[in-house]
Amino acid sequence: MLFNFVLIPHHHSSLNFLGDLLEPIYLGLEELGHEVIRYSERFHFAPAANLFLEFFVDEVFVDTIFRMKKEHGDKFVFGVLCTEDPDDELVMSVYPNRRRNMERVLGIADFVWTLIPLFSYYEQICGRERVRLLPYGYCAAYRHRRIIMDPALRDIDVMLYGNENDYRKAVTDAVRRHGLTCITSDREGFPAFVTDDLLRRAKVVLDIRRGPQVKFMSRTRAHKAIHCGAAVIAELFDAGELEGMYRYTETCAYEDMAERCHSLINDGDFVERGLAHLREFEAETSMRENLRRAMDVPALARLGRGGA
Amino acid sequence: MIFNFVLLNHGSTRLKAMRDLLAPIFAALEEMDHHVIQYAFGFLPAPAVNVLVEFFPKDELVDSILALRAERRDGLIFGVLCLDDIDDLALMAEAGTPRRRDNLLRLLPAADFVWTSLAQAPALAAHCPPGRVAQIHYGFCASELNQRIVSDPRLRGTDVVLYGAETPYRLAIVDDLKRRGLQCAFSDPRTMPPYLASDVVSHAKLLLDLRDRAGDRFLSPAGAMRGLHNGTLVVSELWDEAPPASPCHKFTMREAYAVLAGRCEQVVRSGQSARIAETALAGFRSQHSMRDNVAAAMAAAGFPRLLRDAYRRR
Repeated sequence: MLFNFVLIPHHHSSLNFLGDLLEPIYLGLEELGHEVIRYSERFHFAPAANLFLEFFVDEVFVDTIFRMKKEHGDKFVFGVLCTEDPDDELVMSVYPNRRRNMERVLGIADFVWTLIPLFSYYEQICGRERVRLLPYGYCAAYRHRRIIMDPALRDIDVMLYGNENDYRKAVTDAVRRHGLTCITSDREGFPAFVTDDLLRRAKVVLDIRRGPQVKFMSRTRAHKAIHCGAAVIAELFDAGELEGMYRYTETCAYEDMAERCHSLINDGDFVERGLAHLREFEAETSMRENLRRAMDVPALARLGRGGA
Repeated sequence: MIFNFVLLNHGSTRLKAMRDLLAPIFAALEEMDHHVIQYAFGFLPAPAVNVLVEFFPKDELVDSILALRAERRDGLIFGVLCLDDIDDLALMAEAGTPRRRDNLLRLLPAADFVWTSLAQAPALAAHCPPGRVAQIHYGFCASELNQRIVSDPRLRGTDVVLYGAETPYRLAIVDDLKRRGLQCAFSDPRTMPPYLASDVVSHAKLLLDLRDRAGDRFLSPAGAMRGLHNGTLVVSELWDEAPPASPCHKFTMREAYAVLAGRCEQVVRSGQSARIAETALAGFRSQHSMRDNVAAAMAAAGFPRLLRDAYRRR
């Protein structure tokens, strides 16, 4: 099957940091033997499936989707990848029409893949049979080709993965007070090759939510860092992930994160811990299989059978 | 050996644009079992090798490097990689960065080695002690190869992708191509991340590889490298004073600007672009190794002597 990712609503500058989110999906679909157009500016008709990454702030684009669906019906198959908590005001309020348009589009979508387990919310909008959770799993092609095994070459003590804000800075300041070097991945500033290099050189990677109002951990950040062989210290707050991504990180309460960085680095086994988590992640999870399950929706089954 | 790339003198846009030229060097060094720090926050003492990429608009930066050099004469190895034409005064002394060229010329005599991606080694050598300058010829690099080259011609929906920034010189050709009914796209590495740029190129029938503007003396290897490694036919610009083709440009079609649009149309309509591209990639892969080329540039720029001296001093 051909998956056609229509990313035109997203500005190129934001595509720079959407790699963590999109690449595992591209690679997982390819491992399943599907063709993927990663960046498309035009729609494809069945037997291809179009995929949008939720960000429907352009009314013209939304109108175009509605027109296409009305004119072409099942010949125009599309899914939406939802990554944000619709109740997260920090994200959703930036564009007043974002949530409304998302709900309108989801109402006519053929399928919805969500990274966040909000089934009842999505089921109310588009029906149970169209919604699937997409957990992130191990992906061989996503693994860093040159994981640093020698602890002496891990020259960065702590890397905060994400932009620094007041909530995160309280931790990074405390880390620095322990005498550790702490750098921040500047996702707008650093291109992907720099971020990848910093992640693999870090003794410890910090995964902290944007603020206390955030309810769901970022699966994609931890997923990326684990694939770089880093020991991830993740803020423990999302009970829904206790059996998920948290299992492959060093979970820690917010108040204890700086101290945990210090002790993990002092223990000296940060490389072994990162690699152990990566091995467990590889043994227990699979991006390919997660995608296979997510594809179990009527519209994609119909396309798989050769129907429109 | 540790190669420590100190890129703090480059902002985000420059870093994104440089990635295509740096990644094959990183990969080649790693294939030789060197450890590469791709983005360092400072210099490392010898025997680590520090590499700076040319862009020194500020006097203070060069002053501080020269001071460090004098202070740690025996303990610091550094080289300069030049990715732009040092004699292009429009670029090297433009309004925002009038001191760029002068600062480079102040730094070159102190550098332990100088590499360039362009055919300008003699011009650089004029400012350095002998035996320190080498051109890096861009060759096949396994880590740059698209593992899923698009073989179904129906999935190559874009006729021509133009690699690089949308300059007036390039837009004129695109306008001509569009008048001929061809579907065109731009892929600009400064704005589009590599995981998408490769995809855009691999879904095109051919990649058009032009200079930024008519007065440029060199064609960057970046476009040809991107096209070849994605199994896409590359049509490169050829002009009267062009230097001899670099290894990657030996595997591209080369045409004069005036006839480029017509040639692209002919190739697209022939339906032969995928077959030609496949042959080009096979030839490039078998004849030019990035690893060997970087090793050659290390030898030509005096690395054996440099490292022997560094270890002797330890």
